[in-house]
Amino acid sequence: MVVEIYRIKFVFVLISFVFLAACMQTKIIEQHAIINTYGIDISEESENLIETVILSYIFDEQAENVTTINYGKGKTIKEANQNAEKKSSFTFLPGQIRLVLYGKETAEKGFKNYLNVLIRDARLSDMMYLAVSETTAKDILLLGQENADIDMGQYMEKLIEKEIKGDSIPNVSLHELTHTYEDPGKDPIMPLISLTDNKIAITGMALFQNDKYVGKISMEDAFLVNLFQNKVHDRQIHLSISREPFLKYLSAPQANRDQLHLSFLIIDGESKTRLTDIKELSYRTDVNLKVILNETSETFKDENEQFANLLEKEVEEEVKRQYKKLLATLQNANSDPLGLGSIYRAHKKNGKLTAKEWHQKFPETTINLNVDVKLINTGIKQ
Amino acid sequence: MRKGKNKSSKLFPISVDKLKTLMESKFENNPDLSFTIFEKSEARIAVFYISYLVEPEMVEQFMLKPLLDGKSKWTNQSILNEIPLRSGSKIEKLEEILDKILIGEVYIYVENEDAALSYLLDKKEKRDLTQAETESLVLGPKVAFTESMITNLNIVRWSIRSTDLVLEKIMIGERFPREARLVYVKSLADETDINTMRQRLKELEVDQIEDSSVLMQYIEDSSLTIFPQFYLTELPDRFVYAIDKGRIGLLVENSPTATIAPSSFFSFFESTEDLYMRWHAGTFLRSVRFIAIFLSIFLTPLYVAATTFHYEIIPIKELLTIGNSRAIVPFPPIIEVLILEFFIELLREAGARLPTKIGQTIGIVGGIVIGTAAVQAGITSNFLIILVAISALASFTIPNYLMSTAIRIIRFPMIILGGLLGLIGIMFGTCFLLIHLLKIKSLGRPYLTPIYPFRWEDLNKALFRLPIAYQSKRFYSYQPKDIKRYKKNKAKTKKDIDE
Repeated sequence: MVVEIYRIKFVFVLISFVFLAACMQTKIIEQHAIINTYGIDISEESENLIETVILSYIFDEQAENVTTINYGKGKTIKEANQNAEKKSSFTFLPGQIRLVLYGKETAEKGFKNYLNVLIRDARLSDMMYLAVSETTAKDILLLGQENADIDMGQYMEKLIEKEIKGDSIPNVSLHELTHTYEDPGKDPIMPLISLTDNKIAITGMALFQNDKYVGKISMEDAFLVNLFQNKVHDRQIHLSISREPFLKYLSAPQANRDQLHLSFLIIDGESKTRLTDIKELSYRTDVNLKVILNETSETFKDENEQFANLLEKEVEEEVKRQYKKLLATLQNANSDPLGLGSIYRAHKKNGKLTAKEWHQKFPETTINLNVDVKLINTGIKQ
Repeated sequence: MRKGKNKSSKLFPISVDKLKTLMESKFENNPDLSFTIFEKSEARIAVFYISYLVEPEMVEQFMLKPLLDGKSKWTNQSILNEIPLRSGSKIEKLEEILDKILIGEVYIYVENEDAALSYLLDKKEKRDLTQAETESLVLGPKVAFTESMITNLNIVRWSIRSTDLVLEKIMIGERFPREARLVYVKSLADETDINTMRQRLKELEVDQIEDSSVLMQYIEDSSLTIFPQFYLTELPDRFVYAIDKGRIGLLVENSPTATIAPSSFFSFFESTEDLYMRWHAGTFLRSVRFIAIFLSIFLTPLYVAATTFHYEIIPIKELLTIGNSRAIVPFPPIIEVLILEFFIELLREAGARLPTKIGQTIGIVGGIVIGTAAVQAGITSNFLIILVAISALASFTIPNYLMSTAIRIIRFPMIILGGLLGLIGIMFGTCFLLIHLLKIKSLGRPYLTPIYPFRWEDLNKALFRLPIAYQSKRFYSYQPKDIKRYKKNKAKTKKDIDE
């Protein structure tokens, strides 16, 4: 009988837990604004004031558009967001943020201080993207409000996702970014979003030295960075090579042209980098590409084996040249998104490297490139 | 009632007239007692029976005709010899007469003899064999048990023609006893199981049992749990399938459902059809059913939890759809779901109570008309209608009606937990459910076998199906006396064509 009463008490306590829990705050979706994207700019009024532009979804019968835009200013991002909330009848929820956009000026001053708000909250997705806008973030996001037919937040997210899935740029999710940011031998890289012809597009990649914006590279170079780090599949590249060696293969040589424009599909591409001399800081990189020839700017009459070999050789030279140019740009900006510093650190005696130390050494590095292009298919041509 | 039986004093010999008054006093308000007195050469006999319980032609043709046409003197012995019926016997006690006359015996009493003669000429009203209604099969035998015990035993015998099959008779009920049969295969069924079941039946002290489903509730291991612990089936096919694996069956007079014990949780999701199909289809369909349980229990609670607390886990496109369709709904998700789930339960209950033809109409009217209107009226969101329909549909895939009902009910506390505590609440509920399932026993055997206690050898029978060659053993979990069913078939290996 004692056991019985004990058990009844136990069940009663259990049940009361359930009902006491009703005090927990609910986050019913249609009663909140769900932030999809926000932009961060430094306010014109003061250096210390942050201005955020928040793109959020609201579910309201009366509202015409699901996406709304709000502004707020504050000393921290949370404060700015709360100030923005005052101008809305909904409470903002951060759990669905997919993109954070930094204004160029903000990025130049360093994004370090704006990163921790994203990391501290466990509800935020690690898969969100970070990007830099060519102008202020506000300008870019406001354009979305004007072009009511596109949903800015999702549009930009998809824009970046498409490039990553297509192996054009390395992964730039928050997860990757915090990792590279903490790694002293590697600098972060972010998509650069800008306005061209009144349309929003990714025009290149922003280079960072630690957390500060120091320059940009084109999308073509971004692909080379990606090829340096990852395996790539099914990616189109367009190369222009010298026309001179191919003159005898051309079916109808036209005058006043000096370059041959070619489009290839890279079936498989990979690269491997090793440190060959730790004192001289010289690296050796092997790049292997398996390509299919898709398009040529001029037609050839006799595509035999020698022609294929010549083509492979010329393409190898062109890729090599492009890599050299990229390395020069990177060294000029003193930003190392390739991760050469990580390889260096792995070979260093005590295995310790500070970002400052590496940025002194990086401009002196040399890469001995070895490109191997295999033309596996030229398509049916008759 | 039956206890007073032995006290009676000797009834016979008695005069026919006295017997008549005695019988009529016993059946005072019962006009159906037929008591006739015949006279022949100064000897008198009485023939009495309850008119609607016996076959009248049989009485006239095989009993009265030889009796009245016979030349010899009426004595018990001469009557026994003359009447061409097998079941004649001598009865001396009044109580016995009163008992047996109610199952359709006809009595002949020759005046001044020591005993009355009884003949069983009962007329049983019974329906024909029909197709099973609650458990429907695509393949395999479709005949269902009926209310008649004789018919049911007959059907079981069709499948197991062996003296090994025991049909033990046990009377249950103190006031209105009813016959039950304990069915098992002697060389297979575990002795402990048989004894446990027999003991539970014999020690049962109830005035009467209404049906085998009621009997099941009297003898099951725990009456507090929501889960049925014995399998209740109306398919002889399913019944025999369990018996020949070494389990115990129970048939009850006047009940068209049979009970199978012990039954594990997973056996409720088995269908004999899994066996009739090829093993690929069998495995596939069984996994569909297992997925269906999860859908049925968790789909709507997850919706409530996600829309109330965890908007982060919804993909952004779905979030927009859900948000837009929820914008017009004035209730929080938990109320919305409870309303709609209750509505589905209403539909189902209405469908079950109404005659089949009207029931279908109600389903269509309720489902389509009210469903669409509810969305337009802003009581519920479009998205939820789909979820509720799927979870209702999923609960129909469970072959056993009792289990299907249990699963339906479990969903409601889950919804409430999901609405109050979110995913954590659902986890609490799931843990509670699992712990509870682990503690249940069926006829003293663990309910969750072969998962707990884990039996690797039984997984291929409980969770999925393998080709026949790998399925040659009975359930270890039920501990049958003979574990092997057949030797692996080597006959199908290819032989040389010249042999």
